[in-house]
Amino acid sequence: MDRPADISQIESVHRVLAIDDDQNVHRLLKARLKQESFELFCVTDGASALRMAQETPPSLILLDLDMPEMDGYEVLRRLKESKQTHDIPVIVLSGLPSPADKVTAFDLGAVDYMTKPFDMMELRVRVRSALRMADLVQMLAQRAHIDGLTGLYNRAAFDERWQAATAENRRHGRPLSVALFDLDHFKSINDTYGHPAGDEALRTFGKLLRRESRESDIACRYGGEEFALIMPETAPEDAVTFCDRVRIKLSELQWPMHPERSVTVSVGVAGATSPATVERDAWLTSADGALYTSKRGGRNRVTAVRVGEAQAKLAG
Amino acid sequence: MRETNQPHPGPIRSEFATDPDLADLVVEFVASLHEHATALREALGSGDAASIARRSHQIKGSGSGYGFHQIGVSAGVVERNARAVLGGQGLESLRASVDELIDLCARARA
Repeated sequence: MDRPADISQIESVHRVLAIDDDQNVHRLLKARLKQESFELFCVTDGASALRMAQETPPSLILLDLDMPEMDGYEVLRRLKESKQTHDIPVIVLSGLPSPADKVTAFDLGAVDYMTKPFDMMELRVRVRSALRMADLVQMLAQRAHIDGLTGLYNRAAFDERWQAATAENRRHGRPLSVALFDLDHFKSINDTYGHPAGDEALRTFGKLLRRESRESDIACRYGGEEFALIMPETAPEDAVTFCDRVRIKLSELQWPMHPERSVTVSVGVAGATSPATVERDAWLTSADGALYTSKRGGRNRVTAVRVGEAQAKLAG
Repeated sequence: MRETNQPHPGPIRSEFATDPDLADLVVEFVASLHEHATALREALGSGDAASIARRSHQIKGSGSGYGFHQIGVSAGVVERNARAVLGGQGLESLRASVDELIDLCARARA
């Protein structure tokens, strides 16, 4: 799912993964932590733990160091090497008390270290503290990528995802389209009905775009009254169909702050069904050109071009 | 206060034997201690210091958690001695501490 998570979802139930080769420790942790507000999963070996963490990354890992086959250091190293598991906080629970072991664990990326035998009350508060910190870090990371007004991805997030999407198109030749949306006469809405009306138009369009797009699409506020939608696996013809549907739905909405006036959007689409030979920015230049054509042609319309294929105009 | 090497004849009970969260688990843990005692005896007989180190490490890690603090401490001593043997010391240095741990494990009761 590639859409911004609701900030409130951060407070949902955490999953904590305990990795220890001794099942007596598993039973003890389950009994002593059962009142805590997280789900605890236990595995006895590093390889299973890494698989599980890749498939469903937990909120926190409790890691034993002294395990047969793959020891805790190696597990920690591999967790930190993978993009999928890199940010999962790890508390080491170890019977190895030496400062050298602690230094190594922290150097490898552990957030905390408890020596066995550990006090259960202390473990509980350390786990709570680590989860609280993880929530805050996640919230900051999300806010850095989310537009505060619309809840869509912001421009910085768009740039990252656009780079990934175009790389995918170049590497595998998968279809790709991008659309730029610009609300028509937005300044006039602001000037005539006030900024709350303008903000409401932006928020409503953001919601419409998010609701109508697929899980795999990436909707962003591109800046001001401009929005962008990255549509992986989408030929430009299909992107036009989708954008036209959004355009019509917006034009049919009723606006409580100005019932006498509708809001419309102009759209420019750039897309390809094979590896595009142009640079990343050229796609956006093409989409922007198509958007300009929509504006010049009377607004409230969709114009599309193919990129890297003599920039043939498709619709408009 | 009993002296080391003078095993107390009575059972050793978990301080969490009546804890509703742990009572059932203590029973399982005691069974595992008895298994450890048997395995430690065999390992000592065959001079397998690595196995002694691994088992005592586990007992050290969970003994206190299940209310057997004395056993956890004893296991810590055995682990240290076993690692010393792995580092080149003679097995004799390990024998007394393993005997004591075996005795404690065998006397553990829920």
